[in-house]
Amino acid sequence: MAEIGALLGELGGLVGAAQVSALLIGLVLGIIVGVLPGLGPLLGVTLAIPFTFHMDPVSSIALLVGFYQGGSYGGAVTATVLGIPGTPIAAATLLDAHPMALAGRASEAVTLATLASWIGGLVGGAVLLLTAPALAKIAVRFGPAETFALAALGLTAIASLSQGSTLKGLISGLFGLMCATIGTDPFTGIARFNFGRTEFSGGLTFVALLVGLFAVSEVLMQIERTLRGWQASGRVGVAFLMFKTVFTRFFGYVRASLVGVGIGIIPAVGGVTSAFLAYKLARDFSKEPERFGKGAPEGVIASEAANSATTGGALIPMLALGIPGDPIVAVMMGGLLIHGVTPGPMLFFTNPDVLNGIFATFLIGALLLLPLGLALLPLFIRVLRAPLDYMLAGVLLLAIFGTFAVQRQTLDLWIMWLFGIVGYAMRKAGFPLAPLVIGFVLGPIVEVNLRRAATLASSDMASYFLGRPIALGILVLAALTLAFPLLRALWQRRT
Amino acid sequence: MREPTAGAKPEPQRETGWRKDLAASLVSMGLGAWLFWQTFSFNVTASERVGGGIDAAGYPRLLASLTVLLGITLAGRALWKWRAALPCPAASPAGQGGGKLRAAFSFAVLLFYTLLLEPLGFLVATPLAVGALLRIVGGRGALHAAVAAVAFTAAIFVFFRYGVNIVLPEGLLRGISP
Repeated sequence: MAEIGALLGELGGLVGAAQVSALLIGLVLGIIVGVLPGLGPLLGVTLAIPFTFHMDPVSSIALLVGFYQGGSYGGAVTATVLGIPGTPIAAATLLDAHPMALAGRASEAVTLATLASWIGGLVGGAVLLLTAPALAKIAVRFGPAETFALAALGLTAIASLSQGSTLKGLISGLFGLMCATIGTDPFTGIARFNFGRTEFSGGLTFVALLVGLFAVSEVLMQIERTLRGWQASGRVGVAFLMFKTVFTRFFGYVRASLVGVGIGIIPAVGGVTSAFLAYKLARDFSKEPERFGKGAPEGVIASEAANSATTGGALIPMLALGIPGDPIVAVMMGGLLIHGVTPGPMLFFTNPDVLNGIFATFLIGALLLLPLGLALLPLFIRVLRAPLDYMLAGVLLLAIFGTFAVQRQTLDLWIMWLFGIVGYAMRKAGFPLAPLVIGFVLGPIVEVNLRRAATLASSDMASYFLGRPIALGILVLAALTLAFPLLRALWQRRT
Repeated sequence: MREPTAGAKPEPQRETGWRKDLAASLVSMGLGAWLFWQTFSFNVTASERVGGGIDAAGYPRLLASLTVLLGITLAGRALWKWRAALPCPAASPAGQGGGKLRAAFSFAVLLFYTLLLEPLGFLVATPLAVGALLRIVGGRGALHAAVAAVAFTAAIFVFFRYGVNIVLPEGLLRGISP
């Protein structure tokens, strides 16, 4: 406990006005992108990345954490008011929040969702603070074989569990790994896939790839769909009476938050699963399960507390093991790499200030979500009435000049358009995008550690891995994640 | 065209995704093969060939081979789907023809914009591109689109120039741009 007290004291000293400002901007803009249907925290974090180049590492991560937390919450407002999830993770929230709104209890539903997100965020932050250092202490003993195996597990998990088929997920991940080989070889310095252009010697610009893949392809998909405005009806305010639910439904809040953080730690599973699982648990434990789906406050609490706590859980494998658990965290990891900060167990020794800054900003962000979410609620409702074409034009301009600002060269814009088309085609063909970006981020880690392991193994890789039980165990787990969809299908066929 | 008779069982929708899968598998195989071939142009000396073949060229070669292998598997699965004529589990919402055209035109505008950004400069090229986009995407009237495009350009310019201190391409207005 004394250690935690000392750490909390240290955390406070690391966050100054610049970091808190970045966090506040991230939270407000994050909620706005979360509120807007079709956008969401991933797009928000992606568009924010270029602006972090000119910030110190803690401010930059504060901005991204703000987008992550705000974006994860914002979808609940849309789910309540419009009956469509602003983000996929708010899908479980709308099951009860929207019926509440239809019954004239929109203010209660939004207040409950905000309270639940607040508590979920705080629980997620606390678990992050307690768990990540302990996990890193174990992981710091890992050699190249174990690190390679962990990276392989991260990739196979995201490939097999993300949307679409495992096969397509694997191809997407391999494509990401291939993209990461463009540039200069990390061991020998020879040029690879640079197509005779020196601009590629440093590899593909992460921001251009990311913005093209997620932002441009998303905007193209939105343009292609039938465009229609959104009609947010009714007045929505703060229902202060709901604050008493923190005491009357305390266990509901905590149970859902723990489910969320537990699911968040598992790579690739994410907020949608945690929200639905917590929702199901809340219904199973309820004395009146028949009220669920018809406006039960417990349903809103479960879903929102879980998806908010997932954000804290998802940061644990990135910080402790260097493995991003979901695409948003992968983008954040890329944001840290830009600053020369490599997430993983060594971060606890090489950059403790940055690490503690991440902990501090996460906890402060979780704390600020409640006052900010409730105070600016009228603004967020107003955002829902903004014309979609203006929104898309704004996103495109931010994408273009955010990417341009990184190196001030139009080549990056062409790379962005190329990956925009690649992302669009992949979405159309049912290929998940997340494995590609995780493959790109993990690419250098996979290559360096595999090649180091191969050198140590001196041409007998099988014996080398057999002699390292932890690496072997993780690789077996990676193989099992690949087999999981097949086993599930077989099981479903039998039953 | 014959109208379906009342009460007749509707024809089950068949899986059509196999075409996309087949196309994707061909792209994967082609890309993997091309990248594999490209690795032979890497200048790896004999002393750098360590790690049992997993070296500067061997590693991308391994990835390229896996890409080809998975492409072949995807092709096999696509052909199996075609042979089995599986009922479509969840037909993805197909984009409307007009929507596709709208997306294609918007993308063309953006490519032209990128081409013209350096020679014309941000302050000249951006209102033209944004105006065109608002016309295509939102179906705005010319005057509305023009006013909104100028407002967008001004907002982005102020944000980048004075907010984050980034000089945007000046083009034709070099020397007189604020």
